[in-house]
Order: sequence, then structure tokens, then C-alpha cells
Amino acid sequence: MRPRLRKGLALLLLLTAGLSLSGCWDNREPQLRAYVLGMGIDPDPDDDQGLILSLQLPVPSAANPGKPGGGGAHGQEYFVVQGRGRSLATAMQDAQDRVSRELFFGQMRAVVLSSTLQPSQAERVFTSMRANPDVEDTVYLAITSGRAFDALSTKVKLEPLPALYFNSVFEAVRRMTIADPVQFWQFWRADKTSGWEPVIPRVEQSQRDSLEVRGMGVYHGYEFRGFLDGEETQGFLWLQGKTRSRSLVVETPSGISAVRSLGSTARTSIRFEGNQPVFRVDIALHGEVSLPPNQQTGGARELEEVAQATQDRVRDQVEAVLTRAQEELRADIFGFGKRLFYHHPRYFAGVDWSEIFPTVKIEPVVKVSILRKGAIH
Amino acid sequence: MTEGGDLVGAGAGAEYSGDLAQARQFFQGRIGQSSDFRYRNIRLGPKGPAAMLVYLEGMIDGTAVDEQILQPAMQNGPALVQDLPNAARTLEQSLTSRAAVRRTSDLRKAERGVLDAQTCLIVDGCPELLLLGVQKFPQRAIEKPSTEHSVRGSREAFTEVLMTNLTLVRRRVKDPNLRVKALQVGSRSQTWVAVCYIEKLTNPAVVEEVLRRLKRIRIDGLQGVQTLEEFLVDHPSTPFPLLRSTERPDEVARQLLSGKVVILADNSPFSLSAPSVLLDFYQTMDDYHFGFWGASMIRLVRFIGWLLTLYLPAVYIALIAVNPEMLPHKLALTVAAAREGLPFPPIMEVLVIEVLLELIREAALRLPQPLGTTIGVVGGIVVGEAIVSAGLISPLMIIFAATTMLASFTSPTLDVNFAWRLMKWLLIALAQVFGLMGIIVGSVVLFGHLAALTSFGVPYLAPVAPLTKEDLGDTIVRLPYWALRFRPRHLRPLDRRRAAAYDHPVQTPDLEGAQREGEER
Repeated sequence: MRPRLRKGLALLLLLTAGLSLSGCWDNREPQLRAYVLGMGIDPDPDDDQGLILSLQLPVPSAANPGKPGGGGAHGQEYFVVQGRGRSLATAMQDAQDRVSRELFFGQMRAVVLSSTLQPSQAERVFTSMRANPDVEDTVYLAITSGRAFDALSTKVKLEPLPALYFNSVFEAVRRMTIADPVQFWQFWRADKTSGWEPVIPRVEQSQRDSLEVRGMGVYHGYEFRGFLDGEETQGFLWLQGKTRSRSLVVETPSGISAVRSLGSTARTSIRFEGNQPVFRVDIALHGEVSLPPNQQTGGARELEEVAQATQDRVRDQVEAVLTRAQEELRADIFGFGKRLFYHHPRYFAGVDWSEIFPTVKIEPVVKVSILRKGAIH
Repeated sequence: MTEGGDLVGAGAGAEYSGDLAQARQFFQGRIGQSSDFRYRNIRLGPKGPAAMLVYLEGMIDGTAVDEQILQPAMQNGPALVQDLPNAARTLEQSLTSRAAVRRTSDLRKAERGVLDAQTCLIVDGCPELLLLGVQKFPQRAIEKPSTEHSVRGSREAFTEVLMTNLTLVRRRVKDPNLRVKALQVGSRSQTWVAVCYIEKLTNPAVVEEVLRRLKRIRIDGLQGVQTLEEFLVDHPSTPFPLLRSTERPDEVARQLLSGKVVILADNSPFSLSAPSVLLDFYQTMDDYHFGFWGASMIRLVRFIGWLLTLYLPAVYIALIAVNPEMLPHKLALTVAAAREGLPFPPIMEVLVIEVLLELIREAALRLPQPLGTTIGVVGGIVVGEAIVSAGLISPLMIIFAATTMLASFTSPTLDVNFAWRLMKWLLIALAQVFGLMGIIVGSVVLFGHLAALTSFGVPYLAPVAPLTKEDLGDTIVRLPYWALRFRPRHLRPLDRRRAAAYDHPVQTPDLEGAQREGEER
């Protein structure tokens, strides 16, 4: 056979073989799919191993403001469909039976977990999510003390769909939320890294028609250990070197003042005292005074006082979260263990980190510098 | 096919004995069968010899024949009779005409000459015939280029007359080394083809190869220079053009100066240049008539246009039908809402709208100019709007199709535009079956093919692949002229340097001083 002909035949064969691949013929057009934008997972009250899945499905023609008749004037923009099962897959199947179109998880933006899930249930959920190729690793996670179903059903203001609420909140990283956005892969990474426990931002239904993201839920493995409140979460963020454009109100001898943080860094170093590791975290914060303690004077001495008061305030927040994590939650959400593992792997291998973490000495050193007195227009 | 040193060549054949009756019989038996064939028996002066003029009606300049040939010939009549065997030589020397004059004793050669619009003068008793180049035939004036518009470039385009075209080129390149090699192609059409190049600059291997390939062509007639292209290219089955064609003499001059061979053909207002690489098809004269910032911007726009032409419909299909998880979630909802209730899958939408657009394009091209515009409006707006309101196609598709169409018009040459439009369909098919992965694989195969192409031995993707950093100055961007000091390396020219180094900044003239000096004087 002539080489050219042979090459052509080979190419043809390759293409024909390609056509037989699965996945090529099960394409579904967008209007034939039901996009799952948010997923909520609650324990089943009737079955101690069961899960209740709540899927938030938008109605494209109603949810799209660009279309005539959109924006909710003609009907509901979304609905929540539920499915039950002992695994995520069976619950999804159960939910699928109630929807005419094929459920599509590729556009899912948020997964809300109930804090009442058993560790074994949480493990099954996360493992299934990991195994489902449609679920993106970048989906945002949130945890609620109430029912995940309620968080997904709440009609929020400004957003046409509750799931987009999470998306908007978490993608505006510099906004003034006291929570750190966590995507699925970040949770997974923390969970699989020695000496590091995952956290998930907390969402609650604050009123009948609004959601609130405040605080973080702490896990140890797949076991939910508890929530950090606002102050503790702020302390957690300082320790992570994550800055939010957030104002701290401090009281000084000259009056009440507000400081807006412009940026902060946190550097952790390890030293040993005897056989015990000691962690020192240097937190450097620079900010501006957005409300001077005294409108008339506002001199160097006052600024000094403000800086000192801010320093005390930040240290309080940091100490609060450290105490809580070590004594009550007993979960190393800061990744101190991970750092110890990186720098002293042999030492780390010889100890049970979750055992010794509550007793480890951690020294936060806070340094606040006020850069300016704020922009006065 | 024959080769001649100049454009007044001929063939080989029947020997002429000097007997006028033989010549008359020869011509009457052959081209004499045609109604536009003319011969006239004349006597060169009262005491001169008998003679015969043979020509084709409408191809010669009658006035010039009368004034510049017949009048002097008649005055010389008596002298001719003295030495009849040498009459042709005597006439050749005494004619005042500036027209090319040739002697031959071959009747077939003479016939060829007559067919090539020459006038044949036969003196009875002289064994040689005279072929006089006093052609004059109806021809179009030099007009504006119709396919390669330029905002600031020259307004001249080639015509159908080879000589005119050569003149247009000569006027732009007055180098004594500019060579024109002419040869005839087409056993029946006998079309003149001119191969132009600059000696001591163009690589002689390319010239030789062009001539070699031209001589190998066995064809009855040449429809135009594009017919040659299909014979000359290195890879005859690729959809990509391997020779850049242009109707602009200034572009041809630029090609010649960069070290290329340019092929012109009679009856064709286009030229071909060899070797040509892909990026040549994206260079236009306007790029050199605007500042380099502007020119670079235009080139980038063309590059974006190319990307959109090739990939937009395929990516649309891949994202909508196969990989919707790659869409931003808000866009996914918008798409889903826009497509709610549509009866056709995306691939059908693309097929329908693309075929419709191709129809409109072709219809607008075939119709007379004023109607063409109407077709554009009717087809584009009315049908487009109707098809959307009827709920057959989503408005998104109209946006994408129209953008693709617009983008395809940014490519400066038609032939490369056709190639990319063809490749677009390949990618659409792959996108429908394999999604984004199909587009990637298709692109790999496509670029593999492009990388394997050569034009007269020059890699088609040069100077990008193989990479020649020094030549990148005139590709996707255009550097200023003073920075483009060397001719493209991939053409392997004999004279590499295009410009001498130019020192910036030049000295600022002392205006004040000169003014003061002038006033004092």
C-alpha cells in the first residue's frame, strides 16, 4: 500500500474510533439540562445514616433578567428539589427522579453543609463529591447550624438566586466579611495535609429573607467541632496574614477611634524549648485612622495611643482564637503542625500532633503601624 | 510552450522560399480561414517590388503601420528592387518606426507573430519576412485596485496587458538588475508569462526552480495567473495558498525588493510571488504607509480577526453543547434562557446560519453592485431578524455568526481567507463531537500541517517556525523602517542588507541662528 494511502486510512480509523468513545454522543444542550447552582446537605431525621440533598435549580427563562418576562415577574426564578439516600449518588438519583431535565452539576457554585452531619456522613459526602467528575473543585463551601435546605431556599435581596449570593460574597475577597472563602479543593487540601484542619465559612439565615456569612465552622477530619465567632474569626484571619478592609474600633484615653487595616502579614517561626516546639507568629498590621480620637488635635501622641490600642485589640482577638482552638476545639486550623512537619519532619513523625497541639506554646507578637490619619475629603 | 528572450518570440517550422504566392498559400491554408485575418497586396512605390501585409484585424495600430512602415518602405522601393534577396535587411535598417522589427524565414514563426498581434511584411523575391511589433488592441485603463484597497498607498492596479503591468513595476524598481524572463505557456492560448526578479539579490535557486516548473507545464490554455499557482506550488493538495497573489504594482515592487520572484501573466491583472510564507498574506501596503504604531495595531486587529474566524463558531459549539461547565455560571444561565424552546441543537444552528451567510456573501458578489448592497441588507438584517423572531435560532448565534463573518473580512487576501473558512468547518465538526478537546487536537493537526508546508523550499510558518528572531520585526507587529535593516533571512537573499544603520536623533537645525543671520545680511 502506498504510504500516503496508509496514512490516510490510519487517520480515518483513528477518527472513527474516536467517534465510538463514550461521552461524545451524550452531549446535552443547555436548555435540556437542569443546572444545579447550589447544593445543601442535611442529615435525614428518619434515618441516622441517611442524607437529604437539597438542590437549587434556576428556571433559566425567569432567572435571566435579559429575557423579556424575566426577573421574576412571570414566575419563580428557582426552586429547590430534594433527594434522599444514604450516599450522595443515591440522593442525587432520587432528586433526578423528580426533575424532568438532566441534572448538571458542572455549574454548581456553592455547597451548604449542615453542622449536624455525622462524621461518617460528612466523609461520604466529601468522597462522593471528589469522585463526581461534574463537580468542580472550585465550588464554594459553607456550613450552617440550621438546615442547609433553609439556606438554599432563602430568597435573598439583590441576587436572583440564593446560590449566587454565596458566589458574590466569596468572590469579593476584599469586602468586609468576617469569613474566609473556602473552595472544595482547599478544604480537601487541608483535610489531607498532616497538621492542618479545615475550616468552612458559616452562613446563617438572619431573617426570613436574608442570609449572613459570619464566622467559620471548624472541622477535625470530618468531625465538626464548633463555630468561631466574629472576634475569633478575625483573630484567625490575622494569624493567616489575610487582610480584610475592615475597621477596628478602639478606645483610647482621648476618645473613640477607628482604624482601617490596609494590609497585614503573619510570619511564623519555630524554636524548641527543651523538647517542646514553640511557635512565634509575628503579625504586622498597617492601617490608617479613619476616625481620629480627637478631631481638633490628632497629633503624634494620639496616633501613638491609637496604634497601641489597636495592637491590644488585635492581640486579644488572636489570643481568643488560639485559646478556643487549643482548649475547646482541639483542632489546628492554622496549620502550625504542617509547618512543624515541613521544618522538623522527624520530630513531627514522633509525636501525635492532635494530642500535643492543645498544649503547644504559641506566642503572637503584634506590631501595628499607623501610616496616615486617613483621607479627609 | 516556448521560451524567448523577449516578448516578440516565435516558433519553428516551414521555410519560406521568397515566393509571395507560397506565403499567401501558407497563410490562407491556416489562419486565413478566420474572418478577422487580413492580407493586403501592395507595391512598394511605383518602381518598387510587390509585397504583402499580413495581420489580424483589430490587433494592430493601422496609423503606425501606414506612417512608420509603409511610407518609408515605399520611399525605399527602388533601392529594394536593386537587391531583392537583402530587401528585408534594408527595410529593417531604414524603417523609422520604433516598433520591434524581426526578420525570419520561417513561415510558422511568422504565423505565430501575426497571432501575437504583429504585422508581417513580405517582399516578393526576398526569402526573409519582417515581423513588426505595432500592436494596438483595446485595453482597460489603469484603475484602482478592487480587492486590495489601501488608504494611503498607490491607487494603481495591474491591468490585463502584460506590457503595461511590467511598466508599472519598472517605474517602481529602476534597478538595472531587474530581470524579466518571458516565456509562453499554453499550447493553444500561447499566453506570455513574465518572471521578474532582481539579479544579485534574489536567490538564483528560486529563479531557476520557478522557470523549471513553468517550463514543465503542459496545458492548452492559461485562464490567468491563478492557473499557474496550482501547477507551481510545492504541495498541490493543501487548501492554503502557497504563493501570494496581488494586483498592486507597489506590492510587487516590495516583494521584488525583499528578494522574491514575481510571476506576471498576460490577460491577468494579478501577479504571484514566490516564495511566500503564511505571514506574507497578512501584510498589506497600508502597513507600510502608516506609522509603525498604527501598522502594528492594524496587524494585531487582523490577528484577532484570524483567531475569531477560525475559532469562534467551534468554541461556541464546544461550550454550549459539549462543555457547558466551562462557561461562567451567569453566561450559562443566559445561554440556557436564550435557547429555551429552540427546536434545533447548536450544531444545526451553526450550520444553518453559516450556510445562510455564505449564500449571502456569494449572492452579493454575483449581483451588480447596487443590488449587492440590497442583498446584504435583506439577507443580513431581514432574514436574521426574522429567523430569530420565528424562534428558530437564538439571538446569541446571530451575534457569533456576524462577528465571525466580520472577522473573516479582516484578512487582506482572499485566498487565505478561503483556507481559514474551510478549516473553520473542520474545527466545527471536531467541536461538535469532541468539544474543546477536539478543537485542541484539530489545532494541533492544523498547525502540524502548516509547519510541514513549504513554498519553494521556504517553511510556510517562517520566521515564526523555525524561529528567526531577527525577522520577527515585520510579522505580527511592524518595527520602524530604520530597524528593519535586513531582508527576511528565510528567503536567503544574496544581498542581506536592506538599509544602512541610521543614527537617531538627527541634529536639530538652528532655526533662530539661521533667521538672525539671514536678517543681518
